Amino acid sequence: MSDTRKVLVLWALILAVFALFNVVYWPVRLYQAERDPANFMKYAQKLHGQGQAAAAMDVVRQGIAGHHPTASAPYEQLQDWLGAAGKSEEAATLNPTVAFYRALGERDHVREVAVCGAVESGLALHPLPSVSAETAGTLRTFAANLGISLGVREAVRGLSLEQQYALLSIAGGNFSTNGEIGRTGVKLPYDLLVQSSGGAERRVAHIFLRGRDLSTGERGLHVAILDPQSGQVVQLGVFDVWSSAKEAERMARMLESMPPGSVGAFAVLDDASANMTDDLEAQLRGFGLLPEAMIQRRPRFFGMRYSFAAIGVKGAIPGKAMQAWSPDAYDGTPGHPVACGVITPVAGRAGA
Amino acid sequence: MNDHPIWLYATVGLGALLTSLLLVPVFRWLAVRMDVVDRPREARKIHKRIVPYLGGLPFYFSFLGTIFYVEAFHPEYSQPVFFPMCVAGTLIVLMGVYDDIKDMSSLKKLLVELVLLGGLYFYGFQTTEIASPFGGSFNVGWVAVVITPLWIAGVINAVNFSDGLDGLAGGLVFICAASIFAIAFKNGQVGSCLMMACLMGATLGFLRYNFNPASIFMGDAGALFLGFVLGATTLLEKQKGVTTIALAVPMVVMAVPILDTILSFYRRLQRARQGKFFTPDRNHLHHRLLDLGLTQRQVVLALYFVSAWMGLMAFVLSVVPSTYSFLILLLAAMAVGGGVVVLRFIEGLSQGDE
Repeated sequence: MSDTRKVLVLWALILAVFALFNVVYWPVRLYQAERDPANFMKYAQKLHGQGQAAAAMDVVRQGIAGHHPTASAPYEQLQDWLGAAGKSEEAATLNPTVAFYRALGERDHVREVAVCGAVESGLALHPLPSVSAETAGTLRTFAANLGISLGVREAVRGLSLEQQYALLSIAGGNFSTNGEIGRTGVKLPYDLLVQSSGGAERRVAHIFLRGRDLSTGERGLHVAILDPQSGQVVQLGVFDVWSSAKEAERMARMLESMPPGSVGAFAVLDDASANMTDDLEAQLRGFGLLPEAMIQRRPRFFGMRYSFAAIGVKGAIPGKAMQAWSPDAYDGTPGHPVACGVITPVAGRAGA
Repeated sequence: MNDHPIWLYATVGLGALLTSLLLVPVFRWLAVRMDVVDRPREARKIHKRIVPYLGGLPFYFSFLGTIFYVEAFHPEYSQPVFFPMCVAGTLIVLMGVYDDIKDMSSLKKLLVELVLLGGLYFYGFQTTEIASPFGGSFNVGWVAVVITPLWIAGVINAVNFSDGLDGLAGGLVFICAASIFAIAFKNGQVGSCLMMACLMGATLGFLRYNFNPASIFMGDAGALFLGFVLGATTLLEKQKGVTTIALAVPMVVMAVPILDTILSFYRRLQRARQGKFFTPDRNHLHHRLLDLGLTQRQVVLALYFVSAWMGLMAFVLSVVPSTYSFLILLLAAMAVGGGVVVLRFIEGLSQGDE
C-alpha cells in the first residue's frame, strides 16, 4: 500500500468516526438545548405552537423567575399570551416591567423619556408610604446609583421620591412597606435597606440601617447581622468570595454561629460567586433565602457578577425571606443594580 | 462555584482509561497491518526496532466519547467551546496521521497549526486578558488573536518534542494533566477538570503499552492532539466573564517540555544560517541525559520526577497569595536554570573523561 493510500485510508477512518460522532451528538445537543432553562422562550413558543398555551405560559413564568431577564421580550410574550387567554388584569401588572426593559433598549435621551414613562405606569402598583427622612435619603441614593448604571442619571434626579421608589421596585426591587421581612413573620421596628450591583456600570453594595451605611465599598459579599428588636449590629463584614473559598468558609462559620432570629442583610459588590461553596449556600438558606437563579440548569443564589441584595432571618423557611437579583447580562442586555428593603411606615414606628 | 461532579470526573477518567486499554491493541494491529510504523533509520531515534504508530488515536476517540457523554448525561457541564475543540482536534489528528506517514516539514506543520488554532479564537476562545502571576491581569486587545494560537501551538510542540523516549510524552502529559486538574479543581473549574480527567485516563491506559519497552508509539497524531487539548484547556475557563490566559501556572506545570522546546528553538536559531532551522536534531533533554549514560527508563523516570515537582510548584503557585507568587516563580526559574547548569557541567565532565 502506498503512503498516500495509507493516509487516505486512515483519514477516511477518522472522518467516519467524526461523522458518526456528529450523527449521535447533534440530536442530543439539540434536544438538550431545547430543554435548557436558559432557552425557555424557544421552548415556550414551541409549546404554544402546539396549542399548549397554559404550559407555554408556565414555562415563560418559570423562565422569568429563574433568569430575571433584562430584555423586554419574555415579559411582552407573557403579556400577549395572558391577554389572549383573557387574563388582562395579570397582563396589566406587567406593563411597567415591559416599559422599563423596553426603555433599556433605547438610546440616550429616548431612554430617559422611556424610563420616566415606565415609572409613571408603575406608580399605582408601587405606592410609597410615609417614610422617615433617613429612609427617603437612602431611597434617593439607591435611585441615583440605578440611574447612573442605566445611563439615565439626569432623568432619575428629576423624579419625585415616590417615582424613584417606583423605579427601584420595577427594576427588580423587593420592598416590604409594613415592616415585615418578607413572609417570615418577623417585623422590624426600624428601616433596613440593601442595594447591590454586580457587573453593572455603577458597582455598589449598600446596607443602610436607619439611614446609616454599614458597607465598606470592598469587593465581595457584604453582611450585616442585626438584633431584630434593637437593630444593634451583632456582626459586620465583607467576605471576598470571588478571590477565595476560605472567605466563603469564614462567612459560613460566621453565619452558623449566629443565634436563631438574627436578622441578616446581604449585598454583593462586583462578584461573590467564583468561590461559593455548598456550605455557604446552606447557611444562606438558613436565613430564609432561596437560590432562584438558574445557572447551568441548577438553581443558585447568584452567578458571576450578578447583583444580589437580600434580607433574611436566621431559622426562617427558605423562600420566606426577601431577596432581589439581576443577572450580569441577559441575551446581551446588561443587568442592573437591585435593591431590597424593609420599610416601617412612619406612623407605626416606635418613637415616631 | 466549588461543587464538583466527582463521579462524573471518575466516569470520564475511567472511560478514557478503558478506551485506551481496549483500542491501543486494535490500532497496534492496524498499524502493523498497514505498515504505519517507525523505522529507526535516523541517528536521533533511540529505539532499535520497528514500532507501530497510531497509539495516539485512542486519545482522540476518548475525547469524542467524553464530549458526547457530558452532553448526553450531564449537559449542565457542557460548554459551547467543546464542539469547536472537537473540530480543531479532528483536523490536528488528520495532520498528525499525515505527518506520521509522509513526514510533514516542521514549517508547514507550524503554519497549519497556527491557521487552525487562529480559527479557534473566533469560536469561543476569545482571550483578551493575560493574568499576571503577581495578581490582576492586563488587556492585550487584538493581539489576543495572535497570542491564542501561538500559546496552543507552543504547548503542542512542547509535547511533540518530548515524544522521544518510551513513555516520556504520555507520562509527562499525565503529570501535567494531573497538576492542571488539581489546580482547576481548587478553582472550581469543572470544564478543565473534565478535559484533564479524560487526558489522565487516556494517557494512563496508553502507558500500559508505551512504557519502556514500548510496543506502540502515539505518533504525531497523538502528541499533537494531547498538546492541543492541554493548551486549549488552559484557555477554557473564564474569570469575571473574560477568558484569562493564566500563563504562569501552566508554564510551570509544563516546565520540562517547554524548557526543552525553548532550548531546541535556541539550537535551531544557531543552525538557521545553514538553512536547518526546521531540521530536527538529537540534542533534546532526553537525548542529552541518555548520552550521560542513563538508561531510557532512568531518563524517563527522572523527567517524570522533575515534572511532578514542577506540577506541585504550580499548584502552590495557584494557592499562595499573589505577593508570594514572585518567590515561587523565582524558585521555579532557579530550579530550571540550575538543572540546565548542572546538566552542562556533567556533560563537560564526561567529555573531559573521554
